[in-house]
Amino acid sequence: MIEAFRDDILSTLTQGELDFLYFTELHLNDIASWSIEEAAAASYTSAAVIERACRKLRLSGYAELRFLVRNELRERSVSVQEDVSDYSARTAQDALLRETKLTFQESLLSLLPKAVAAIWQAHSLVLFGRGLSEFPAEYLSDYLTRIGKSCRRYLDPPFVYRDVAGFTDKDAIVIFSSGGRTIPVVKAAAIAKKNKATTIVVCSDQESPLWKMASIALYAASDQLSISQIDLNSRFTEFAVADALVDELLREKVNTASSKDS
Amino acid sequence: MPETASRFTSAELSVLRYIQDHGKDAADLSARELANAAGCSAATVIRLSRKLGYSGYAEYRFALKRQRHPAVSAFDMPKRDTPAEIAAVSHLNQAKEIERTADLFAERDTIILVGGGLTHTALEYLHHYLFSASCPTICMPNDELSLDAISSASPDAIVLCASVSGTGSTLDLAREAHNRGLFVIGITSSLTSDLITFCDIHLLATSAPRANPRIASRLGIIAVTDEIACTYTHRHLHGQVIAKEAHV
Repeated sequence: MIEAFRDDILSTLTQGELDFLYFTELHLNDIASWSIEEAAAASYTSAAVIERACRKLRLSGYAELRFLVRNELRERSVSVQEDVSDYSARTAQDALLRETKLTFQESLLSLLPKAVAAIWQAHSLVLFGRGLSEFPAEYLSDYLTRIGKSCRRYLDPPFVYRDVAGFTDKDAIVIFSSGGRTIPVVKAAAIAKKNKATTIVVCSDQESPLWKMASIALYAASDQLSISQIDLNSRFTEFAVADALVDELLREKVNTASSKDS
Repeated sequence: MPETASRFTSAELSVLRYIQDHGKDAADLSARELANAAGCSAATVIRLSRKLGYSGYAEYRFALKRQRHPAVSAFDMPKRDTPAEIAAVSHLNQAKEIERTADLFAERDTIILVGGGLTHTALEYLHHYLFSASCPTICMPNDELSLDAISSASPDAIVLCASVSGTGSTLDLAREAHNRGLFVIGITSSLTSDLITFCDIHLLATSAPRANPRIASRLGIIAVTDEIACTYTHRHLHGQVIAKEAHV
């Protein structure tokens, strides 16, 4: 549940208030039924601390926190159903092809050389992806290493913030994000932008703040799919864009080598 | 050409010299024609082929023909048509095999995903996706730990092995799982891999050519894993899915 609160808001909590929030995270089922006094007694804190923590979290009070906890428990109850739907894998195959066609349009292909030049020439290169987007970032990072372009990959703040905080206009960050609205990815892009570094974004939402902050924005079309608010958008086209970048990087590497030779 | 000449008889060396001198044309010759040209017997040509690690001259000749068309370099690599690759993956695999895989994932308690290197990243993606959809799997690189996991898995476990080449450790692990009587699902780009013989379900993935096989594209394998994940979600969590189509 703690992930529902923004980092900047969480950072305003005192250690005692944070400890109560951690306690809540570990005892969701109990909190759902406890009164504030019972919660205070069980977590070795006071009702006043709990109320203050709730207000800092922009909640009206403990009652609203308990309401959120109950919602959270309901949402977590994703379970495999006994009956199997008649959904055909052909539909999944068609969706994948449709997303790929939407992605590989001229607008993307024309940007790939520019993105690759920025990656190849970057003094310092960081890759960042969270959740399921961690894997397209890892995929590109592994290829870059094998091709001979070193980079650093992060899954979570705060290290990515610290790294990008030292960036200059000679550096670049590649961010993979399906929605482009998760605070850490937007924040990392904002820090990079502030330092005039090249921000390359692979994203499925062209209206997102991440997309708008990018120096080079690469569209990875993806159907939105969620179950009980769990994001299950396919990241296939993010992988496909990473793979296209690898192809361009291999060309760039050969071009660079041949121009050095001549 | 071999690293050391000492392994070969003088007759075999004469065949190798002929191939070296006439590389382009030698691949067009039959065993008998090559033997005549090199001044030896056809048996020598066949023996040489086996010494070089081929099953016979037919396979060696095939390898020589491939050498005439060396691996594509990055410089002259054709522009890829990714949508065409994905369409090919769909055509290569029957929908019912993907559905059967997804349904087995819902039925069985133990699902072990095995793949090495870059393929392992593709399987990690599948593992995390399925985990989010209430289908816990075990994802491992193709190392000794995987061998231990397969050796101690319950009889109704499923082992999914993915490998572009369908060779090496992943093949060994598929063989081990098959020999233990476990249900094996294979994803590979190679039609000639022995992996096919050890699989109960075999799924094919395209792999675009790159100069170095170590950096071969895994996109075909990722496409197959994504189809499995999507099919699983829609078939087994259908009452809970909220979907919205992408648009430009």
